[in-house]
Amino acid sequence: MAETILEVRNLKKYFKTPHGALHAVDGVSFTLEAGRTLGVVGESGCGKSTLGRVVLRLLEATEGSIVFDGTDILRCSGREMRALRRQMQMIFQDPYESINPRMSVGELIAEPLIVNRICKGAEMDRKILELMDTVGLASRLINAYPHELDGGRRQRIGIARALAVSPKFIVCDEPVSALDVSIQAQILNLMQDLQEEAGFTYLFISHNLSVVKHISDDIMVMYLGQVVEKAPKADLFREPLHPYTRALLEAIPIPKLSSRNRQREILQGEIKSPIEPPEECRFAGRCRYATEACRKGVPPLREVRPGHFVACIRAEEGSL
Amino acid sequence: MGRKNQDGVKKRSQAQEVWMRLRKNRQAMLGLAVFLVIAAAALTAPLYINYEEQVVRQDISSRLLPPSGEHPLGTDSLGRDMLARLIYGARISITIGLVTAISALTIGGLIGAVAGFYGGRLDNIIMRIMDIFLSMPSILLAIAVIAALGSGIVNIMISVAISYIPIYARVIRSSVLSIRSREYIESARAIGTGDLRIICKHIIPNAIGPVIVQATLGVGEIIISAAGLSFLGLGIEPPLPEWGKMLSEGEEVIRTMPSQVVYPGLCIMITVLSLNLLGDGLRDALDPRLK
Repeated sequence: MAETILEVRNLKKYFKTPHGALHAVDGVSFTLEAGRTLGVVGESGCGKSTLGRVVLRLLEATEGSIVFDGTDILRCSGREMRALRRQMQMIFQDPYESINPRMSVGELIAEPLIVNRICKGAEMDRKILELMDTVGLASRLINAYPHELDGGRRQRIGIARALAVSPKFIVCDEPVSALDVSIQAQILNLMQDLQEEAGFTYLFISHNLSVVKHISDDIMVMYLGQVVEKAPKADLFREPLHPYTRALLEAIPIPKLSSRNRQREILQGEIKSPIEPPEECRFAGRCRYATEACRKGVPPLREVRPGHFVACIRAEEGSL
Repeated sequence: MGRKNQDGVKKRSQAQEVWMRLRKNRQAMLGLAVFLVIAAAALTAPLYINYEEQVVRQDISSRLLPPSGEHPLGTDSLGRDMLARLIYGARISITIGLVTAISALTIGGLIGAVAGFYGGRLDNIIMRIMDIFLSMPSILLAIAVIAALGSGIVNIMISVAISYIPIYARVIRSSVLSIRSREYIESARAIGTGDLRIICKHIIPNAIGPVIVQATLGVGEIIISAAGLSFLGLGIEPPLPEWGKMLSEGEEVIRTMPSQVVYPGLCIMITVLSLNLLGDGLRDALDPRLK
């Protein structure tokens, strides 16, 4: 069994709005073993990106604890946090937004080396070229500017920046969703290769189930700031237990003519507002199996099978 | 200087990149050339102009002479050589214009960047103070500053700079506000970049564009407002030659000798125009997307 690298307990992040507190992340707990990839899926606004940012402390958590490699990062001072940043990095969603358009490729990759005082001078130049080589950027691009590059190459810059500090853990916030389909696979494969070589641990956030299936070991499904199901990839795809997970899996398009008229479970209704949500199953309003009992308190995340967690009180009732 | 590495791929510094792009811009290079000529003439003036004899000494018998071999641009109403005064005037006017604009831009820029970057209460406090400065007529403000500090070139520069700081602070703040929420700022933070480096390396380079043009135009305005103060007897003391001051002196004879105002006016215009062309080009050169 690999060691646990990240342990998140009852993490909450509320945003203040004029209408009350917005529960972006509401009591999320999970553990992550070194060298593995946890995929986080859910629809827009379910709090998955916020979760990734809170875990890296780019946003301050409202409540809860995040233990990374034995240290509770929420209690770290600014200086300790800067040291920790060398071990936990982030790859951003939109490579057109997440790199400074006024810096050349060389400067962008040099930045983490400079601010973390990793190396300088000729050694830094060598390291930059080495990183560019690792992520598959031609060395002639060192003076190129982001606007001259396509999305895939820009994302490679983002990856090189994250790798520069040799982290252990990387949060990937939808790293391929802004890219062309043809490039998505390249970047995903690059990330997998890097993981095999360096043993990174990934928290991989995405709304695209096929992408998550490709890269993850475990999958965590979020709905309105809460985890509704968490299981090893194979289990989850073979036997989803939460009605929401099932609806998500049904929504994956099957490119087959015979499947054109297949019966699908289509979700009714709209996602509820995350502002001051009532104390009940957040999914109850759209769930066709909901009973009175579902409206009495938030269902806890239970381990119904080894490694398979689900937050639904009716999960054991067979195929509903 | 870029260093060669094993592949022979040179990494260029930011300054080299900017200079390379600026050099391609003809208008900017014209502006730079004109400005350098003016600056060189002003800097070397003591080598070929006798300050006491040609710039200061009054000679009523030779007042308001038309151009001649001895006085290429004629003489002013006190019989002093126009050309010599204009060249010496450049020393003072350009110093006032540039030093004031640059210091106002630096201070105002930093204030605006800090206010926009940190936001919230700090932003509110800073910008309300700026509003107080903006709400006072700049001449009144300058008079107050000079009354407190006494007259003189340095005090003129301080008083004019104070009235320009809030203007630059506002412009910078508004562009910083739109930039600080961009994802690349978050990305820099995730990598461990400190606030100061984020402001200097990420925010200001992206926010500086509109202000650079405004600041180069500001140089002209500053020369004029310093002249206004001199006109009120608050700044440059005669017989010191200064373009704005010469402009207001020439006003008395504008009907009979329009050249008295045309020459200093032209000097201000050419200087401002050259700086403006340069500033325009600089703004484009700072933006790699417009290569």
